[in-house]
Amino acid sequence: MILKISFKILQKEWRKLLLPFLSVLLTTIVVTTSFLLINSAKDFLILKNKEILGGDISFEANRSFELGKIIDKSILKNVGEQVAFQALFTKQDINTGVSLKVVDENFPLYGQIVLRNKEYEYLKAGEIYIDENLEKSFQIKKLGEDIYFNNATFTVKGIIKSDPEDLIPSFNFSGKAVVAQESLNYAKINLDLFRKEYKKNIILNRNLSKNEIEDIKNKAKSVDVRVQIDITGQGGFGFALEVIERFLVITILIISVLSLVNIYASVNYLSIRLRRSFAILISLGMPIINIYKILFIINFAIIFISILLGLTGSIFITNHISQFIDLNYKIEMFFRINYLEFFYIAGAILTTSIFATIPVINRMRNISPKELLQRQTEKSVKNTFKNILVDVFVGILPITLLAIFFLNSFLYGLIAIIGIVLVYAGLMIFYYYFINILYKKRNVFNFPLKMITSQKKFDGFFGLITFASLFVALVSIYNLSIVRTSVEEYLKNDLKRNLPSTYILDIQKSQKDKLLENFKEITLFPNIRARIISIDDVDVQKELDNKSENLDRELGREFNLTYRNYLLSSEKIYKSTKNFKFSNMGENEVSLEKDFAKRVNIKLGSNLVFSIQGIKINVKVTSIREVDTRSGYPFFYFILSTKTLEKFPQTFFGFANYNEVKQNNLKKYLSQNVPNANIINTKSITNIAENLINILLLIILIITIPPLFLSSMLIVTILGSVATERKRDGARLMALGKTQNYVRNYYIIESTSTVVLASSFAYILSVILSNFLIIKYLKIENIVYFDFVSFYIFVFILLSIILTSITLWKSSGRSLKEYLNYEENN
Amino acid sequence: MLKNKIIQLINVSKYFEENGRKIQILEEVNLEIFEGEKIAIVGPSGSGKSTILSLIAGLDMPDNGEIIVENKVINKMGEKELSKYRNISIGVIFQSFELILPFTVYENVITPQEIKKDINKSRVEMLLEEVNLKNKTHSPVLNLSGGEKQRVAIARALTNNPNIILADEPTGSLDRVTGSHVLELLINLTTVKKRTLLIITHDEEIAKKMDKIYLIKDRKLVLQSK
Repeated sequence: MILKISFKILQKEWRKLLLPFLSVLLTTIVVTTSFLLINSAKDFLILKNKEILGGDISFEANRSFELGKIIDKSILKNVGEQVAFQALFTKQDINTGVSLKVVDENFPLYGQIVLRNKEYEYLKAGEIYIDENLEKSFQIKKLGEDIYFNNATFTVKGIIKSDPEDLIPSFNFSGKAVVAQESLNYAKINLDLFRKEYKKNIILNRNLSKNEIEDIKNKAKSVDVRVQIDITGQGGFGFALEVIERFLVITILIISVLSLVNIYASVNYLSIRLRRSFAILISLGMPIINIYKILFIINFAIIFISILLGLTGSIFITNHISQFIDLNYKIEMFFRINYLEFFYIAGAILTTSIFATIPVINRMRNISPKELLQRQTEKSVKNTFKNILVDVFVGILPITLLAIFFLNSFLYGLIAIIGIVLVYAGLMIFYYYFINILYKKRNVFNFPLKMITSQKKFDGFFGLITFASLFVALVSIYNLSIVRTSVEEYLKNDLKRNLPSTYILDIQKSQKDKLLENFKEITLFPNIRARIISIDDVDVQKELDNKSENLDRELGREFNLTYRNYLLSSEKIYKSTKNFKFSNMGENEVSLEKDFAKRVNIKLGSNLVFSIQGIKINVKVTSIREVDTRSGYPFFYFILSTKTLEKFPQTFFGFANYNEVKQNNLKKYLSQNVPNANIINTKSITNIAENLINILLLIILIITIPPLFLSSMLIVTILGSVATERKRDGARLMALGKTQNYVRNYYIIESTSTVVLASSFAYILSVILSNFLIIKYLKIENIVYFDFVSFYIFVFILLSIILTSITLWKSSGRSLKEYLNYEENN
Repeated sequence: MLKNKIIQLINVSKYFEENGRKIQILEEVNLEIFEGEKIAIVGPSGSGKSTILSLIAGLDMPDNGEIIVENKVINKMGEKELSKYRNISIGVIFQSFELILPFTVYENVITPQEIKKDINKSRVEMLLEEVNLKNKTHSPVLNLSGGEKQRVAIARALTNNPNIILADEPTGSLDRVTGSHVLELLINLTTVKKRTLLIITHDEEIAKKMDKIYLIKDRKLVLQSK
């Protein structure tokens, strides 16, 4: 009987159910597609991360080392070994420093080396790949030409266009070349004579636990091997990838909130639309419990069908997006359709929707058929503490579960939901009092404003929820838009700008002034090599020889010192002694970079002794500098005063942001006047960078569209339900002498004023929230107060409302009499 | 003294569409109502009596024929003129009251004046006294009983002092005792104020209190003797 009535209502009143049906359908499509896209984007970022790193984990040391001492070999799937060193190659009278990478047949473990016009393949002994800088330096006209090193001949077999590992920030500015391991014996290279870096990249055959990772890090440290597990936190692109990953987390959160609010709005709307049918059934003697059952069945049927169709739709859409991206952008985003995940999403949406009916049912209790027939439901249900408690707890339970599921973190999910509930509650209290104040003052308003105020007051709890939902949707849109703009700006501008186009190396002191005279834009840094002898009277070399646990092994190496009396834009003083002035550093003072100081445990006030070419200098740490490692500019761990270092032999290196013409002028000048100097064009790096930036921007765009769509849909659902409520009031006004135009305009004013009010508060909150996210969570320094995209979205929403209102009041073709009987006829 | 014709229906026909089929509800209906007359239109449910009221009230338009009210053809009026007509020339009382729910009693009654942009607060107060709702002036209409709501609707219909009052089953939503009180009030007020009253009803007892009774039969109006 109940089933029969439920299906009869479904069959006869399907028009009323169309909006919630479409709403849940689109929510399912958007949520599933977003989830799939975000997962794919995450996979892509992880892979990109591994490509740049060279493996799942990368180990480095300046000597050969055994992996077995650091990691359990049974978890290794593949290992790639490299050794890199500076080598001086010649061709006729051309001598050029080359950053030579000796690789094994497993290289590269991830990604690919892109060669110009040919595929990368493992080289034979005596063969070499060189980059475009070296191609120019050696004036290579065609492949097959020879260059020489250590009295051995190397045949150029290809020109490297990009190597993913180049994106790790480094200060190795020489042109790059790759040879096979076999070339070491072939050219009789004695590696002991070079300053080299051994690198072992690995692919694991399983995921590691946090403890295992810690264990590997500790073991690596104990044998003086540096370990990198991911590139995030290393500045440059590592940071960019981290920013995007965090952006995805924000997006997931916004999507889950929006989808849940959307489902709630839809179910609420559905119950409003069916209220009259229920009233009739109650008046015919049906017990209220059966009404609940019918509402539940109808709700379940609609949601079940929409989820089923939604999942099918999302598979279809995802496949098409995948094909489109693959075809147009050549990015394999690893779109995978995991049916188990689909099942989880469907289950989560279904559970949420079913839970969403509970507050609605709760609010339908104690309603008499007379009240229902007179459409007075909202007022007749008392907002008792118990009712509100049921709404809040039953309502937030599935939201919390879904947020935990989407965010993959219990804590994040809980915090997010508590935050949302607090925002909701705060806003509803504010709106309640705001409308109450206006209502009390309504007699001084003109008729439309008085009508709107009374209408809002009359809307009661439904009005509060509507406004809060609208607000949440708008906050989501604006927040996402502001964060997106900031990330986009950061990727487009900061990252590109920070990579100077030209590096200049090995300038001698005597050549410096003349060079700067001709090329004023060049920033040069003196470079003096030194070793640390002691820290606070602790003999560094002795401690290291004794394998002391108290000292970081990095302290054993040679460092580059510099001197200057100004801070770069990427630097600021983090901590200093009293009365410290960077511009006035004394002879016995040194400034340390913050992260390095922390790593090697040198504190403000420590006394250091350096040895520069056998001469000892004593200095005290009087400042710690914070350096933006993302700046792309060279930075030094140690900066001393000019007076201290000026007297020592030194070379200079620096950078300039030159275009191609200016760069060629510089090259010409250097070749004529400073033949010992090297110039590095970073274009090959920026090409890879630009490509990666474009891919990241595309990911951001793809990920941003679904929640924007979802929010817009939510706003339409909310306003749609208001429109239904207002139609009859509009008809009453028309019966009393108002024109149809007036009623339409009144509805437009009412809807737009609600959106404008919600928008204003939403924008203020969004700016605060997004700036908090941008600075604290994404850690990029873009403060955004005005965002054009948000403005366009706002204009779009307003126009949509106006158009919807015009359509609603024009297209129906109903007579006024029918409008007055609207509820009965619909 | 010869009274003026205030409402005239000349060969009015009206069709409705149901499942793509055209159904005629009124066929060449003719009606003449004179100033100050009290008319009842009776007939079974679905016979088209409410349609006649909707047509006279300008809530719906005929497919054929002319409706002349106070010497103006209302089915040829533009939207603005028609709105003005609904606001000033007639007062309509609906079976389901059609009050503006967010408003108080006073706000409902003054609304037609606000639409007319000619506020006369003392008139509203006087009308509320006449319908015996003075003590409920600032109550939300939602909290009123059915009889009280219909009395608000009567006061609202009279607020702009129209010459014609149209009532569509005004007691249909009320119990018999309340209904007869409301009807008495409506008849008294329209008599005292010398207004023309057209009531749509299926209740013979109510119809008997009117000057003339028309029966709607086979899509046409037939004058019945009282």
